[in-house]
Amino acid sequence: MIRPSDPVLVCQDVGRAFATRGGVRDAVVGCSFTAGAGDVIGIVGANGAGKTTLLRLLAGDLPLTDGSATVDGLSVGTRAARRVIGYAPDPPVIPMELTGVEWLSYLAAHRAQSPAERLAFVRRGIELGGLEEFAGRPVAEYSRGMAQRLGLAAAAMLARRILLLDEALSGVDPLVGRRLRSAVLDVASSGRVVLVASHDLATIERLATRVLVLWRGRIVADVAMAGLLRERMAELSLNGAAIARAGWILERFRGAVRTGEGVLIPLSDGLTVESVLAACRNERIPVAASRVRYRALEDLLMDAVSRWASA
Amino acid sequence: MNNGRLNDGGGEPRAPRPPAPRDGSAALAFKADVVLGAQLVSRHRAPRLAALLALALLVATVADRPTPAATRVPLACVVVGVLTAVGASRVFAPGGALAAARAAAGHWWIAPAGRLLGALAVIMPIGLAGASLLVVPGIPSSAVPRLSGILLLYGAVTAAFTAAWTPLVGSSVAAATGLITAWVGAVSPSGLLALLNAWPIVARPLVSLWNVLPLPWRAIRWFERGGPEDIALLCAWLAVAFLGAAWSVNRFYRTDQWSSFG
Repeated sequence: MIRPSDPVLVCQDVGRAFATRGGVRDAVVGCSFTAGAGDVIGIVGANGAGKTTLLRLLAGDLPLTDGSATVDGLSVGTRAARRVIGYAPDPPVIPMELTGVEWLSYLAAHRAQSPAERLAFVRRGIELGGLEEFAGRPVAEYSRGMAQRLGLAAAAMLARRILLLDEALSGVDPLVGRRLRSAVLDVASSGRVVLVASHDLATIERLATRVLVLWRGRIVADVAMAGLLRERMAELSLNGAAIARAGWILERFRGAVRTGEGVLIPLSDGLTVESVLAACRNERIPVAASRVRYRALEDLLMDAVSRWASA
Repeated sequence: MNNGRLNDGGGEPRAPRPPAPRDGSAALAFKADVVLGAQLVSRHRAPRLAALLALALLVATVADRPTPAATRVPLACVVVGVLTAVGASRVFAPGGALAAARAAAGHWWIAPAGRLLGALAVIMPIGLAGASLLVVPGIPSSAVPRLSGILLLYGAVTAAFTAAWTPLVGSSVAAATGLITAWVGAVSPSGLLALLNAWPIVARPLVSLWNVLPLPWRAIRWFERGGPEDIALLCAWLAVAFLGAAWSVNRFYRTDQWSSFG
C-alpha cells in the first residue's frame, strides 16, 4: 500500500557496469536518493559522468547491475514501471516515418480507454510542446529543436509518475524554452517527479528543487536549490604575482575554490568580504577586484568535482 | 555529499500525488500497432525498392519465353519471401520503431502481433498479385487460392522470423538474411545434397538444417504434393517466430544506434 507521504522514486545503491575491451567500466556506482511527488531534480556533471546512464537505468532501457530502484514500489525495468515513466532521451528517438500527430496518436492509443481520451491526449501533447505549426509534418523533416519538443511532449504525456529529461530543454529557442520550462513545472505541480539531466546550468537553476552532482558515476553532491542559491560568496580577482599566492587563500578560508582568474570564498560563519580583503592585505596579496554574489550552480559543480578529483 | 545512505530530500510531498494509472484499452493499442506496422513498411524506401526489384523480376519472367510452371511457383515464393523479409525488417528496426514499442509498454503480444499484421496487410496484396501474374498462365485457376494460402503462411513465417531477428542484428542484416534465405531456400534438400556431394562433412549438417527450417522449398512441396507435414511445420515455426519476436523486442533493446555512453 503506497501512502501519500511515501517517496515516489527510491534508488538504493544503483549501479551499472559495462564490459569493455580493457575489462569492466563502472558507469554508475552506488547512487542512492529518493524523490517525492512534485520534486524537480537536476542532474549535472561532466561528459561521461553517468547522467544519461542513470536516466536510462531508471527508464528501464538498461538493466541494473547493482542495487535497486523502484517507482511507487514497482521495480524499474518492469512493464508496470515503464507504463508510469516518460523518458525523453538525447537525441530524441521517434519513428521517422510518422508525423508528430501520428506519433502522439500511437502513444495515446496505448494509454487511453476510449477514442475520446486518445483525442484529448493528442491535443494536450500538441499544446504542451507548442507543436501546432508542424505537428502534421513528417518527423523526418523536423529540425533538432522540433524533434526535442515533440519528444518532450510525448514523454510528459506518458509520465504518470516520473518524467526523465535528458538534455530535452537544450537546443530550443528562448521563447520555446520558456514555454517548455513552464510545461515541465506544470508536470511537477501535478504531483509527478521530474529528473532533468543537462549541461545547461541556468535551466537547472530555474527548474530544479534539488541538484545531484555526478562525478565518474557517483553522486558527489546532493543539495537543495533553495539553500544553495541563498549562500553568499566573495569572488576575488587576482592577477600577476598574486595568482601564485592563491594557495594561501585556499588554505586560510574553508570551502574556498579556485576559479579561472581568482578564488571564490563562501561567506559563512560571520565571514565578510571586508575581513577577507583585510587578511589578504596582511599577507601582502594584492586583490585586483572583489565582489559579493550569491552562489551559483556552477560553483557547486566546480567545488564538488574539484574535491573529488583531488581526492 | 552522498554517503551511501538514502537521502531524505523530497520525502514530504509538495504536490498531490496523481491518481493511480489505469490500463488502456488493449483493442485500441492493438489497432494502433497494426496501423504503425503498415506505416513503417509503406513509408520506408527499402520495402519500396524491394517491390521494384520484385516487379523487375516479374516482368523479366513474364516477358521471357514460356516458363514452365515448375519454375514459376518457386519464383512466386521468392517474390513473396523477398518482399516480406525486407518489409518486416522495418517493424522493429533499432531506433524509432523499436523505441516506440518500449515507450508504449503494452502487453507482450500487442506490438509483435499488431505490427506483423499491419506489415503483412501492406506486403501480401502486392506479393500475391505479383505471384498470381506469374503463375496463372501455367497453373489451373482453381489452384490459385491454394497457392495464395500457402504463400500467405510462408510470408507470415518469413516476416515473423525477420521481425524477431531485427532487434538483435539490425534491420539491414535481418533484411539481407531473409532475402538470401528466400532465394537459396527454394532449393530442396535433395537438390542441396546433390550440390554438396563433394563435401559430405558440410552437406550432412546443412541438409539436416534445411529439413528443419521453414524455407520456401516446403511451401513449394506442399503446393505440389499437399499433405499435413509441411503445413504443420510452417505453423509451428510461425508460433516460434512470433514468440521470438515478442521476446527479442524486450531482450535485445539496442540503444547504441541513437544514444551514447554516459
